[in-house]
Amino acid sequence: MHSTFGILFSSIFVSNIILSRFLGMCSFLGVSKNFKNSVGMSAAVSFVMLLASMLSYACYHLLLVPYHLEYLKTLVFILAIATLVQLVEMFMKKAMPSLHKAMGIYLPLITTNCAILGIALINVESNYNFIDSCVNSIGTSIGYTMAILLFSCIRERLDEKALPKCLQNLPIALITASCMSISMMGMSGIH
Amino acid sequence: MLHELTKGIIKENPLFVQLLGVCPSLATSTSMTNAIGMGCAFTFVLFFTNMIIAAIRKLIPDQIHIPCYIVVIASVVTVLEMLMNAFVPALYAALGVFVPLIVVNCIVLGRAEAFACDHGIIDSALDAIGMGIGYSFALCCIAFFRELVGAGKLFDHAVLPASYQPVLIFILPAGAFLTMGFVFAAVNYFKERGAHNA
Amino acid sequence: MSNLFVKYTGILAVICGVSVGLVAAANEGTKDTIAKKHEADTRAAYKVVLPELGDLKKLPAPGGLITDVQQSSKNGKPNGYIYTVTPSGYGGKVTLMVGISKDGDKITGIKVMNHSETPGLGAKSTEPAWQAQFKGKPLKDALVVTKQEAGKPNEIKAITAATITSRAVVTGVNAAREDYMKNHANGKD
Repeated sequence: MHSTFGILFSSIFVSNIILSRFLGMCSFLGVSKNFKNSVGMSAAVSFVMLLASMLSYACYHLLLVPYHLEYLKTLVFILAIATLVQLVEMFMKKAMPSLHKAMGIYLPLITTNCAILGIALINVESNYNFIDSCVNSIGTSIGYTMAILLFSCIRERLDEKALPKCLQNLPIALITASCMSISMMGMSGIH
Repeated sequence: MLHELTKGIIKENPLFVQLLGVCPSLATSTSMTNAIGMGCAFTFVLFFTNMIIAAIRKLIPDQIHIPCYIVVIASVVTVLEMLMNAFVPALYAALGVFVPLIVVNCIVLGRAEAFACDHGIIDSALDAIGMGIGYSFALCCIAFFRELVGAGKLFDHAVLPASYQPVLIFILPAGAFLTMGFVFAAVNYFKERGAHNA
Repeated sequence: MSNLFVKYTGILAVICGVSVGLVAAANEGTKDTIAKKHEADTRAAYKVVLPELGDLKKLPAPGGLITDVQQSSKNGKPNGYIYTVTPSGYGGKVTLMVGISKDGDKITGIKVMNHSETPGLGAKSTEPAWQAQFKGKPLKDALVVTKQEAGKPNEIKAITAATITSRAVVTGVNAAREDYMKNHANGKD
């Protein structure tokens, strides 16, 4: 899987960020209760993830590597992401108020979404170049969107079913996620 | 005082009751060894961040408290990363990206926000230890079933007879969701029964 | 307003400065231990795949699957080679070391360093019991994977239910074999 296409395919399906890497679970379980919120959240995550991985790539290769400060990467990345989210929110409020209305409430939550920092770190760890980093983050956000949208549809239906009380809400959601994860496993081994 | 220590273990258990820190609990519960390692790493971070934040809470203006907390947490996590890489490299490799990701673990920032920002150093330290034990306990509950059923082992030692065919799915990602779903269902069941009896 | 701005920036800068200072100090303190441990680990892994380890010299890697070649010499004469190869397995790249002895042109051992294969199936490739099959294999012919018990000298028995992983490991070993036969066998150096 060294090709760029391989990275794209594997980040969407085989190592789907939620169902096999377990990143971004909090937002996944939190907002997937209804379809509308899921659309807003996944749009915000996709947007920030691409910007954040470009920014963290720049920080790492232009700032940290030349001065041998690689060990500061966690610190620098999280600060860069926090600043980025702040800036995006301010910019959006001014320039695109309608989009801000739709995505705005999800933006502050994204700073602590481990999917964003996770992808920035995984890009560095896998030694991806700039293009591969972008492709990886695009693939990952497609995977995230796909998982969260499918999941929210299932959850909306589950809400109408008569379940044992102890299984309601979160436990059944996790068991559903397990079934989805099994279907993703079927994709591995495809080159 | 003792209450600060014990509340995190059962009554306000970060994972089972507050539903925080779900991501690492799914990823690092493949074996008891990993679960305990993650629990210790997590407790270490929480202990130091809670104490540092409690110590400097009066110096930080309200408007910029979040960035300040993030800087403190990220530094403690980076120090932990180096210590783990130097002294327990095998565990460091097994936990992988989830060690740096403690930075964005909701529990750490959550405790800073909810507790350390208006309590003393000692109370915050006790709170951190309690939460840490509670989280480790929750991780171990999940890891116990996953490792036992999925590999027939505990702490990497075979405990079930060799004729036992391990149910592999339990140590794969899908098994993490499944186990966690059932553990949560059990927790809900007992909570409900407790509420009924009371 | 601007006064407050300066104050906040100041506080944030101080906190950042102190944190970075502490992290840098911790880095200085642990850097050597990490480097030493890493070196010791690599040396130990080399020793597993090539028991008669001598002085090491890094050779330029030929590319392809081979990412690293180390030449081991005793008394100034090369006695073996260690190849690091990265074939593609079921879940991604598999990184393994292959030790080859000049004495009799045979494999002295392999070790899987890093992989993302399925736990319990492909991950069995890290078990010494399976890796032991490679020990002493002659390099005359390329190795092949078989699902039955290995009969011929160049056959390797696949891991049950993980044929792709087994094939990946064998592909890596064969890449090392090819380079060795081309550049180092028959007293070429």
